[in-house]
Amino acid sequence: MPISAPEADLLEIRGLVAGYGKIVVLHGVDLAVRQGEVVTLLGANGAGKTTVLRALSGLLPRGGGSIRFAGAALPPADPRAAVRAGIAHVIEGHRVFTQLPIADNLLLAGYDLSGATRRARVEEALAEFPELAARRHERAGALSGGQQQMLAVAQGLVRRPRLLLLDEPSAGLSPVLVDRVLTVLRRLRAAGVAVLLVEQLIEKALGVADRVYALARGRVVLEAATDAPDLPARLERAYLGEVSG
Amino acid sequence: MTPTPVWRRALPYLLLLAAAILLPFTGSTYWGVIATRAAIYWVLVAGLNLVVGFAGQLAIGYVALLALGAYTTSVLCARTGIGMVPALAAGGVVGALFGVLVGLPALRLRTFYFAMATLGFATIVTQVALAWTDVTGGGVGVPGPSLPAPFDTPWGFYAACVMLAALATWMTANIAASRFGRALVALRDADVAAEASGIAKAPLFVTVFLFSGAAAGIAGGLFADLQTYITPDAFTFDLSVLFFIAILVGGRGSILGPLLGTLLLTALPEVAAPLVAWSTFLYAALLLLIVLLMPGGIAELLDWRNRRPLTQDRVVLPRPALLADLLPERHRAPALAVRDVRLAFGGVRAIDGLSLDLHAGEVHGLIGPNGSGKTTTLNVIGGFARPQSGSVVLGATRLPQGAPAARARHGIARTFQTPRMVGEATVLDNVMIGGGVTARAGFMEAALRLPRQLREEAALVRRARLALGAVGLDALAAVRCDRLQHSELRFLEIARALLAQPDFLLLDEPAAGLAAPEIHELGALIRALAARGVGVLLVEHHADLIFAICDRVTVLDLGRVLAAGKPAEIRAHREVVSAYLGA
Repeated sequence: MPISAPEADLLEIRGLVAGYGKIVVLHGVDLAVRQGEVVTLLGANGAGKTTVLRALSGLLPRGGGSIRFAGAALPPADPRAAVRAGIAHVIEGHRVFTQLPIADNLLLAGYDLSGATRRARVEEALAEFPELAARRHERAGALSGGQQQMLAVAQGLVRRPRLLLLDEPSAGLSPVLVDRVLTVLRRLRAAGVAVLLVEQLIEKALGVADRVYALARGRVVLEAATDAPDLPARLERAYLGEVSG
Repeated sequence: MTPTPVWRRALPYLLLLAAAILLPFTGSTYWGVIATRAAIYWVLVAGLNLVVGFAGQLAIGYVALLALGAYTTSVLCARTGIGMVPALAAGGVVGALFGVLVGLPALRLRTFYFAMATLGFATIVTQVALAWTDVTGGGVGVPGPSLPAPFDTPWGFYAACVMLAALATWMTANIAASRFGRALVALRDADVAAEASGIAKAPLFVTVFLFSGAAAGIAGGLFADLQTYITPDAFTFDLSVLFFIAILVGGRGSILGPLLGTLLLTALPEVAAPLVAWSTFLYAALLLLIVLLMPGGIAELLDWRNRRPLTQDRVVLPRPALLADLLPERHRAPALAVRDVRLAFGGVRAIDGLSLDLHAGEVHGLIGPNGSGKTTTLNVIGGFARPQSGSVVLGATRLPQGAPAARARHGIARTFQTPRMVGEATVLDNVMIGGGVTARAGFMEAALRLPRQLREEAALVRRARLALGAVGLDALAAVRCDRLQHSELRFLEIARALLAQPDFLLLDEPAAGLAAPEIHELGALIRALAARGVGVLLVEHHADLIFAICDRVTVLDLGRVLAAGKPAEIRAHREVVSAYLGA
């Protein structure tokens, strides 16, 4: 997809400032995602990738800047508003409700959907991960770490979001499962869902994404289409520039 | 950040002591009595602080131990005529014994259930004091004891109480700064990691309950002296609440905070005399305020250092060369063997007849699809999971099942899939938690800073810094652990595991969440560990890392060995490629 595609941006972040307490992590981040586009956000640990996702989904307050989503301003620090607007956030570290059955974990992910829709969506999500479907009545705590990560991704799918935020979905997943998650992403994109992906497996992330942003010290240092011929060299510079700085 | 020098840390205590010494010169006997009461309360709260603030056990009925100490001391003095000093010692012994009795439920009951048990005990003690009139005088009460000269005047008694309070402060601060204090906090915030580090909960808790019970009993004897006459009415529920809230207001895991909290709560009703009737309400309001405005209590308010920003573009750069100093040349351990282990959770077979050998100086990769039993295998080797059949054998020794805290002594250390650290402790303290098993000095040696304790502590600090240097985190030694990034926590867990000087190291997905350059550094570090004779069992999903650094690879599927062999053989194994690696 060319960068100059005519359709309006689904998500538009301008000058985003955010951090933890008085410690500022993001110093004015600009970023856009179009409908049906997979965008990956790369950068070394500590560059601020997770902070972008958390400020976006309202889990962190903003210190400045604006976020527009689907043509309307997204209020700061209001996770419910973000969910209602159609943003689903799969946070890092496979955090599921370990005391509840797998099926209930998924039902909760569709908390404010109507009963019939919710059940249908849960079945859809389970269809992507048969190993979860086979154990749907077991407590999520009985799953292995990687299977919990699978469940967290499945939870993100239940609401059929317009924008899916994924924070290191590959962590703890076996190589075949990582490929499966990426296949699901490709299918979501074909269905018009936008994805903002934070990932450490750079090759795999670039393989599925249309565009890439690189973050260093809380600023965007690179924006490019993933099919740009000089991308590897530019990415290396973006990473190296950070290390030497 | 450099560590705070000792005199700077001692300064607030010395200022308080100076104020206590100057107080008699004001000539105010009124404030003298209040200060005496505060000192007595603090003797109790100092001990209780180890239970509540450090071990995180909600013991709210400690007024019962105060009552037991008070009655033991008073009754012995009044009925047998022995002096108050031996009677006070007896009060301490009774307090210690009942301290263990009240504390034991903590080994089984959690949080509020334990709190209820201690409350129930407090009620029983008051009822017994009322009913056992032959000894306690029932509702009429018994006269309090009196210390011999020169401590029999109000200011003399004040001096005795201040000295005991200072002693209690010094001893608990020593314990807090020792491996015992770190172990208590580790059991509170990361119990699984604490057990894997060789910290056994039961003996440590019994010791701490003995100590805090003795402190409470002695405080009780002093309290009886101050009251001059004691009845069951003196030991109200409000008093129990005061002790407990002083610690919460002060902030958990601190000595200075609860000390200031005790002073504040003792003086507050006096400053605002009309508020005495409102004291319960006042405590409640104060507690709510603290919980809402500064959940870390006074201690957090005083912690300026950890509000300074850290540099953001930090890079973890391990220096494996330091391992030579940290892991001296030793006899290579015999092989660690897992023999025909079977383990099912409910109906699900997690491990179904697994055998593998881990040799010293070798990196052994354990891979397989999600849910194939890799972490469960680590849990069996680490003693966390009890297999239904099969065994874990080290040389000729069969290791006991279900005893994780004993594994560290057999030279087995591990890390976790999600890093388990004490967020409120410094990076250095977190690493030192791992070295507790190598220390020999006992609890009282720690409390009194005896030479062996000081030697061991200094050695532990030196080794912890070496370990931090080896994993590339030495610049962060003084930082609170919860300020670190995820990738740094992964390396920090390895440093903690290394402090036990393990022969075998079990790593559970150490590269998850790391960026490519960090994974490269991690690989070099693991190879360097193997070169020092450590046998590493590596559970990972980064196939590149596995094939680059492993000497041997075992592939699990559905709890069974699907394939085992050299990396090259595994990479070419048809079933492994289809079930796990993908095209």
